[in-house]
Amino acid sequence: MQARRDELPPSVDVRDLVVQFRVRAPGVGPRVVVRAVDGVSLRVGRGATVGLVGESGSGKSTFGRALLRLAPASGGSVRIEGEDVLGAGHRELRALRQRAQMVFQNPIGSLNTRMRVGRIVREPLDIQRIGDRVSRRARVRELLDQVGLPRDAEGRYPHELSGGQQQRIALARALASAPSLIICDEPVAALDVSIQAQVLEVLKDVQRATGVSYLFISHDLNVVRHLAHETYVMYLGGVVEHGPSASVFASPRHPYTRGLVAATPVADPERARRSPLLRGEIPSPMEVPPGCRFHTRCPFAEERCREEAPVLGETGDGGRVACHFWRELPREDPRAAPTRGGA
Amino acid sequence: MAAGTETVLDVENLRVSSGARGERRVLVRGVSLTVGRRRTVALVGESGSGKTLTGLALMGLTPAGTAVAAERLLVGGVDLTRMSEPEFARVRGRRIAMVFQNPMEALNPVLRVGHQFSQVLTRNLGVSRSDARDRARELLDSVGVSDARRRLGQYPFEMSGGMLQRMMIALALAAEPDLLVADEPTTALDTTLQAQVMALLAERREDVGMGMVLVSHDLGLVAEYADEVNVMYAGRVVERAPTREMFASPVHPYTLALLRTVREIASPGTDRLSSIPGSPPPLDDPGSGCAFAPRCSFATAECTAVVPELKGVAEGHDVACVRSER
Repeated sequence: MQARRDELPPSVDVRDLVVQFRVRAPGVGPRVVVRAVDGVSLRVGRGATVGLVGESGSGKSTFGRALLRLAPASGGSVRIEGEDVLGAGHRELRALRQRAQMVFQNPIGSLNTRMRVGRIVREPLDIQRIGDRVSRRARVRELLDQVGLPRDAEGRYPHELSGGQQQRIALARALASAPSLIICDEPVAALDVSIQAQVLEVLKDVQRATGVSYLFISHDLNVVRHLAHETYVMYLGGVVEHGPSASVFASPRHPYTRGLVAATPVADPERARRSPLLRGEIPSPMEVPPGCRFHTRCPFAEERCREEAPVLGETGDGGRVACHFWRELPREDPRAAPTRGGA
Repeated sequence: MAAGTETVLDVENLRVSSGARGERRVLVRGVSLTVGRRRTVALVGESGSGKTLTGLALMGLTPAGTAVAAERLLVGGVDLTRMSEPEFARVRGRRIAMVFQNPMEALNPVLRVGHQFSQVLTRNLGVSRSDARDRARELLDSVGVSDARRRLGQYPFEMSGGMLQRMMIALALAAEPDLLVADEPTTALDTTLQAQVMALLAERREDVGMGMVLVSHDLGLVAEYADEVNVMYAGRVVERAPTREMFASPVHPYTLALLRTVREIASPGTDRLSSIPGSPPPLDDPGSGCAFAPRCSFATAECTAVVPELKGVAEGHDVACVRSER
């Protein structure tokens, strides 16, 4: 089984994806081209969970949407189970969207509130003409079971259920067409921690049962580390670090990843309070700095960083990092790293 | 609280209810808090725990149709329960101020920020408009906004959430209040900004010499920035302790379960997360007895019969659970 899986094309294989928008600057300015996603490559193997982390404005959500052509790609390629997405015609695209689904942050915003839960979950089967009436009904029951919703949820409206249950509905609906990949965009960000844990467990259960793979987009490092086998870190449209989650979070190499890890609160008052490693804010995607896109906030930036963009290079232990100086940076725990004056 | 610390907030048995007489629904059921100068007391809980409503009640800003009552609500020694609304309005922004989760919603979108600063400063500080402009620049300086002049000429939408929240903090602290209520002040911000803004709040707390009530859902944040933690559930404080004590030896089953979940999510080795079954009850209908009983793995018949009171289990550590009473 494992060998077979490896021979199959990955759930999604993205190469050098570019998404750009023409926008007007605030006030009355000329139209400018914003590269929200600037040449990102990413791969999610069958049955795997891949995390994509970054702050607002990093382009992570746009990237996720572009995989299903919900945002316009202007370069690169996207293959879902080996099939081309960007060049697909209307019918092919429809078929591809059976194989890759999306779950969003705010479940109530993505569910039709006038439909009962049973119909919401059944609708993809109706639209895709999967099975007959009897088998669809059985399938809906199976899906509700799979996401841990009670049977009587079928006849209720989304607003009668809690936020955690609504997110389970969204997941059940996404699973209806038996996709190979679900793109989860901040699926637990709006939920309380006790409910987050429930939904994360459901995601894991579903993966064990169906072999679905997840692209898990989140700003929450703890959640991503918990769930994802490997993680990509995005900053201003580009990937700055990628590797097995364990090493990305335990020994981050890129100064941005280190700053993110250092800024994540830990529920332990005995630990020394972190001093913010990163100063300032992520620049506007309309004004991506030249050279290394991170140099304006990097405490370690040097002349070269302002001029030459680093490429994503192998670290030799399964990871990749886009930094000229990652080898030379002090290796101590990023939490203890002093705030240093930069550019 | 440490001896010799001046108390800036002393609230006893705070209650918030809504609805008309006869069908009153109680939402916050008797919260008592004491905050000392240069101290941060956290109210933590999940959505619907009543933590935000409690914060708003301290400010006299609960939604229309709600009523606030308390045995005592002293801010800087002044009893707010005895005040008429016009009197309260003079205290608000001066002795007691608030920072909200979403700075974009706290500002008027069609007015330049500088204009809004001078409105607030002339009102709260009683200074002239030109003095207000100078003061605004100083205030922005104090929160690390370097190009104050340009910023004051901008509209809220021209700025990032992090920049706006710095400005809101500057504005809230303009009159050097005795007490700041910070309601999820960094929840809308990215992680790296969260660290910056919390560091700023801690620094300004020292400089201004105020007390702070930090309303948050984030136990990690609270662990790092609060001196005392109050865990709220269904409109009540179910456990209160100094921060170190709370995280080292929590007693209430709800606190235990929350902390366990947060720590499990944060530790990579956890295979299966132990989530709390079910979800919190509606604020206005916590059921009979202990509101957490239906979700509690230790619940007995006794738990659904009586509402447990907050009782001391150690110095400064109170718990509302029948198990801790034995």
